[in-house]
Amino acid sequence: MATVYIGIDVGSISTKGVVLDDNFNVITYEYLRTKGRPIEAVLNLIKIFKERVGNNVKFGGVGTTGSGRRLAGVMIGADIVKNEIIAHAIAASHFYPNCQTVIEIGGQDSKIIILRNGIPVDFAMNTVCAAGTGSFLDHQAQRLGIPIEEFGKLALKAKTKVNIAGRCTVFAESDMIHKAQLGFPIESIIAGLCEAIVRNYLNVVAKGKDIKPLILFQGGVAANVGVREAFKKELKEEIIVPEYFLVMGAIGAAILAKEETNGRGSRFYGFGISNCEFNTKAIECNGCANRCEIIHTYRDNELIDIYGDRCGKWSGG
Amino acid sequence: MKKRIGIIRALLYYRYGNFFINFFKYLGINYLISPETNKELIDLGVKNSSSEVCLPLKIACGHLLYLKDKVDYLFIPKIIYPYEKLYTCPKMMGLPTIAWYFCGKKKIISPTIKRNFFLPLFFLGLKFKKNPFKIISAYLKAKEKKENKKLSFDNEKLKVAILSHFYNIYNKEIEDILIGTFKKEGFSVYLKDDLDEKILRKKDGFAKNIRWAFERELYNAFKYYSDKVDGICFFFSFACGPDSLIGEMMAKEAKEKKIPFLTIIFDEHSGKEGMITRIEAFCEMIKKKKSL
Repeated sequence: MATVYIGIDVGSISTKGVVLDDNFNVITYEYLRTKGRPIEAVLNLIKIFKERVGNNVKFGGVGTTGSGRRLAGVMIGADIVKNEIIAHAIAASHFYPNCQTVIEIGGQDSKIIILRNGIPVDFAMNTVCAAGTGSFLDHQAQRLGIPIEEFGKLALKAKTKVNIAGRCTVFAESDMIHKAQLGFPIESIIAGLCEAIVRNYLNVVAKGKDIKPLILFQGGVAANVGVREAFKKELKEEIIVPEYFLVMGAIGAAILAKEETNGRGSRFYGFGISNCEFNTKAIECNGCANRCEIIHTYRDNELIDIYGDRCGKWSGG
Repeated sequence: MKKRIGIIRALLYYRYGNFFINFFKYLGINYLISPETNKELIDLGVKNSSSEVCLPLKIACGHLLYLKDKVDYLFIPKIIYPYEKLYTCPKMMGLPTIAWYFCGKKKIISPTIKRNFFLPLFFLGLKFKKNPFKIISAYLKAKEKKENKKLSFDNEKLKVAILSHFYNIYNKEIEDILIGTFKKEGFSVYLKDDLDEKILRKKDGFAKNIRWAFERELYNAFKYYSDKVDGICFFFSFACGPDSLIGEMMAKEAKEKKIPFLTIIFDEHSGKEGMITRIEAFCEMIKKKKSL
C-alpha cells in the first residue's frame, strides 16, 4: 500500500490541493475557486482526491496552509497547520534548491521570499493594500469581458505601450477606462496594466529586498504571461515559473506534514469526511467590551472546535 | 462636591501616567482614569476623529469622549520636550487643542511642559490647593524611581526584540497577539522600555541627529539589541511619520548587519490573523537560520 501526503492551501480566491507520494512526486493536484465557501471547497477537494487516488492508500501526513488554514486543519484533522510564507519557501527550495528569490502573487496578497542556501532569510507581504493582486486582474478581465486565461496572452500582442497608474486599483481602473476612451487598443492597455502590477509589486512589496537569481514566480498570477514578461523586462533576469506554480503552497504543506509526522502516521480523518456535513456558527460574545467574534465549527452537528475568543471563556483556555 | 479630574489611558499615559496619578493622589484631588482600550473606545475614537491621523491618536480621542461627561476637568498635559530639547510628536502636542473641540476649552487642564515638569504642575496644583508645601511634597513623592528590569541574554535560546512606542504595545490585545505569538514560538521577548534610560538617551552616532525623543529611544534600543538578539520586530502605526523614517533607517542597518528584521504596520483595519501569519513566518525563519 502506497503512502501519500496531502497538502491543502485555502486561499482567499482559490483552494488548492495536492497529493504527493513518498518521494514528493505529485500524484495529482487540483485548483478550485473558493467562491467564498471554504468548507465546501475543501470537501470538494477531498472528494476529487478520493476518486483519483482511491482508498487503497496509507496517509503519511496532511498539512494545511493559506489564510483558511486553521479551519481546514480542524475539518480534516491536519498534522500541521503552517503559514503560507514558509510553505511556499519549502516548496520552492524543494524543486529548485538553488533558488534565491520567490515571487508569489495570489488572489489577495503578494509576497516576496528571499532564500539563501535553501533557507528563508527575509520576506515581505503586502500590508495595507492589495493593489495588483489576482482578484484585481480577475475583476478587470470580467469588466472587459475577457476570460482570465486569455488576459495575459492579449498583453503580448500589444504593439504600443500605455502607462497605467499602478499604485491603487481604483486609480488603475479609472486610468484604464480613460486610456480606452482616448482610443488605445485593448492589448496595449492590458500590457500597461501588467507592467503597472509589476512596478507596484517591486516598489511596495519587494522594496529594499535583494532580488537574486534564480527567481521563481508562483501563485495564481504566474499563469498570466503578460505579468511574467513584465517581470522579466523589469528585473532583467530569467523568471522561472515552476510546473506546479498554482499549488506550490499546498506542496509545501504536504512536505512539512511529512517532516512533522516523521513516519508516525497521520491524524487525517480519511477521505470519508467528504460525506460529512460541516457547519459553522458565528456569534458575538457580549461578555465584555471586546465583543469577540466566536466561531463554532460542527461536524454532523457535533461541535468540534471553538475559536476566536480572547479570554478563553469559550475555547477553554 | 469635590471636583473630579479625568485622565485618559492613552498615548503618554503609558509613560507618565503613574507619576501624574500619584501627584493627584498625594494632593488629594479626585480623579478618574478611562478604562483599558477596548473595541468600544476604539470605535468611538475612529468615528469621531479625522481619518488622516494615526490609530493611537484616534484611540486617545475615544478615551476623551468616554470621559467627557463623567468628569469636571480633563487633564491633558501638553508635553513638548519630555527631556533635553527633544520633541514628542506633533499630534501629542496638539491633543489638548483637539480636546477643546470635543469638550470646550474650559474643561481642559493642559499644563505646557518643556523639560521642566515641576513648575507647570505646581501652578496646576495651586488651582486646587492653597498650601504650596503640600504641592511640592506631593510632586516629590510622586516622582518615584523607575526600576529597570534585569536583562539577561546568555541563557535564552531564541531572542527577539520588539521595538515600538509604549502606547502601541502596552495594550492587552496587542500584547496577546504580538508578544504572545513570539512566546508561543519559544522566544524570549525584549522591549524597548526594558532598557535603562542611559542607553535609550545616548547621543552618539546617528542618534544625535534624531530630534524626536521617542524615536531616538527606538533607535538606541535598536543599536543596543542588534548584536544581542536573533531578530528584531518593529511594530508601528500606519500614518506615523517619525516611525516610518526611523523604521527605514533601522531596516537598512539591520540588512547590513544581517539581522532578521520584521516590520509590522497596523491600523484599525488590520486583522490579527495577518499579523500572526507574519510573526509565525518570521520565527520559523529565525529557527531555520539558527539550526544551520
